[in-house]
Amino acid sequence: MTTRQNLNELLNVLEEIRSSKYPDVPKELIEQIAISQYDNQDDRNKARTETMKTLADYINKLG
Amino acid sequence: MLHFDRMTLIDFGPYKGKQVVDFSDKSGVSIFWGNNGRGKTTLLNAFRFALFGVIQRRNGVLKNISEMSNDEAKLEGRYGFTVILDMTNDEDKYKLTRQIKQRPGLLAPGSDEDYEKVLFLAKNGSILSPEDRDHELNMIMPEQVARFFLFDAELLQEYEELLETNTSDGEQIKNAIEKILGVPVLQNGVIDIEDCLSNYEKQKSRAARADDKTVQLGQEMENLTANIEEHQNIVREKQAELGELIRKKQILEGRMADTDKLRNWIIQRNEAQKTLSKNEEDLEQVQADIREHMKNAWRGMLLSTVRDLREKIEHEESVLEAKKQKRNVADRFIIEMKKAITDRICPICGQEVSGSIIEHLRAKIEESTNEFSGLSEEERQRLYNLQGQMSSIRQLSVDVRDEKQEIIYLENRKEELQISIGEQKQLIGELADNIKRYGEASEEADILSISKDHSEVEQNIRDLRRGIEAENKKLAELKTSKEHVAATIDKMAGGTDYRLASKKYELCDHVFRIFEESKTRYREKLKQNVEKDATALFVNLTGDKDYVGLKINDNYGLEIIHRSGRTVPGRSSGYEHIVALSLIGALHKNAPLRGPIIMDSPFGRLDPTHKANIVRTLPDMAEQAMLLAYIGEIDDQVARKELGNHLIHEFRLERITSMHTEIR
Repeated sequence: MTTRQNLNELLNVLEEIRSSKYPDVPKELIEQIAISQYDNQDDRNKARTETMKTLADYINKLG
Repeated sequence: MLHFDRMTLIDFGPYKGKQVVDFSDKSGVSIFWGNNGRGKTTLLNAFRFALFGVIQRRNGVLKNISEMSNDEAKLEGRYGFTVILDMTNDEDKYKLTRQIKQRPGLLAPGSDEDYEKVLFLAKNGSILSPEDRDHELNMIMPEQVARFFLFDAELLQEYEELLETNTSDGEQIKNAIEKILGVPVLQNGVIDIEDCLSNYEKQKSRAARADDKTVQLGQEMENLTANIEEHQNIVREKQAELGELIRKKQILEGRMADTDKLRNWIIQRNEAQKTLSKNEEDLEQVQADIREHMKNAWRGMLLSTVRDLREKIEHEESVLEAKKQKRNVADRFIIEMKKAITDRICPICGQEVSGSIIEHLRAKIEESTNEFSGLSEEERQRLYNLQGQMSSIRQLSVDVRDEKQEIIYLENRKEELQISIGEQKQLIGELADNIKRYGEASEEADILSISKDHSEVEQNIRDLRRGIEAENKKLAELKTSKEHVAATIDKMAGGTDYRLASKKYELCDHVFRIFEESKTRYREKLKQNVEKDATALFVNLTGDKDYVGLKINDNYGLEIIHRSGRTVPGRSSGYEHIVALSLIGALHKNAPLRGPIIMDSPFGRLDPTHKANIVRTLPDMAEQAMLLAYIGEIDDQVARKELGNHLIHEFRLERITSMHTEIR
């Protein structure tokens, strides 16, 4: 997989919003979703499945 | 970051045999010098072919790709061609091989069907599966963003579309810009997270319905959610339809450009046919008019003869009439004289007339009787005949017009029409030949219907956009209602299940909001960065102190700012290139996806100063840049001086024969 050093700018923006307004959301969750989307830009289904699974894994831990 | 290390060409276009170009792993600029026809554009196409399997020509994508086979190689029995591209992306080494190969068993392949396409991608020495290969290639260099890496002067000119709103070309470029900048990562994230959110919302509604205190509100919430989903689906459908229509519009615009010449010929031929039919009708009418006029033309033509004859008769008649008149006068005089002789008194003064005067009167009577003898019998008959002839001649002249002028006019008109008919027939013949030669199998009706279809598609796009706007408005209203209901439920519901469902929903909602808000902020930040970096490049490129920067619009179009603060209207073609290059350079600085820039004769109408400025700025635009230029397009001394240590290598495209170029 491509290293994502160039994705930093985008991740920084996500982190700015998360840390200032939604600190209850784990930083890793946001990064993981962003990276799934970035790595699968050519495959929308895979990006969607990975995003939904990542989210479900985190959220269902609440229960 | 993507870096091209080496390219191997085998019988590709004019590059006969196996030729290897080593780009070196260093950062900097390589220049390929080659005169017209030596294969600069083909070299640019070699990259396109290797990466995307397409060859771009001035009039669109090359349909029969096998045409790129080297002609001399074919004469030597070698058909097909290969391009191998060695690349490094971050830490990974790639070897991309794309080949058009003669099918086994064929001696002299002709069309593309006689060839097979072969594609391999090795990553760090291992050949990838087709799925992984396609994925890796899409990640390394998606075709949608190729315009920022491989371009020529014509492609640079297209960026002015970004200054217009709602043009399909502009929209396409804007999407490509957002793609290279990584905006879809957030856009798609928002869509997918919103779907998750919808699931957690349903769970929350169900939990509210199961709670005694909020049964009704839970039901209301479910209804609103269902309603919202319905409208969201409509929006999605409309957006998909819109995307389809935009693609259709682009295809139609491409076809319009491709068939522009052909369509004009067909329109011209149809016009010529209309003119021909009209001319033929007019000619028929003119010929009928000429026939009608000719019926009475003999009378008109006799008019001058009749006039001469009439004058002659009138003259003779007047002479005879005068003679007759004189006799009458003389007769009255003789009667008066005779009375004076008889009465011996003058009838005028009443005085007595003397004998000498009587003698004188008798002499005068004698003289007058002899001198004014009047008309002879023959002359009287002649006068009578002349009067009869005059009457007939008058009858002949009644209602007779001189048709000559009218007939001359009609004959001239007939000649004009005959010439025009000849010309139209010749034009129709020439146009029909052109249409037949270039139109190939195209159906004329299809060609003519393109612009009509284009207008219809444009109208449908406008309608759809209005429809989406209305749906979004409705959605916003429903979401507000839902928020009110949700807030009420939160206050009233107390069950554990509801609290848990609500907590899950809230977390998902926060994730959604992070992506949604980041999308807008990232876009704004990118715009600011692109504007700042493009301005820095532009100021270096232009060297004009009056132009202090560039201002970005919502489409990523860049306007030049004068030091007075005004935007500069109607910039030149040269400045269009400078702005486009500034934008490309800025995108490379800000995009998650970075790679080499390969430019084919990008200087267009730029003057030597601006060319030198561009050369000097190349190392700032991309880590690896390749410039394909004809000798004299830029001064080699200037290029070397401006690039200094950034110039890695100069290659020359040398002519061996008209169909064979060697890269040295």
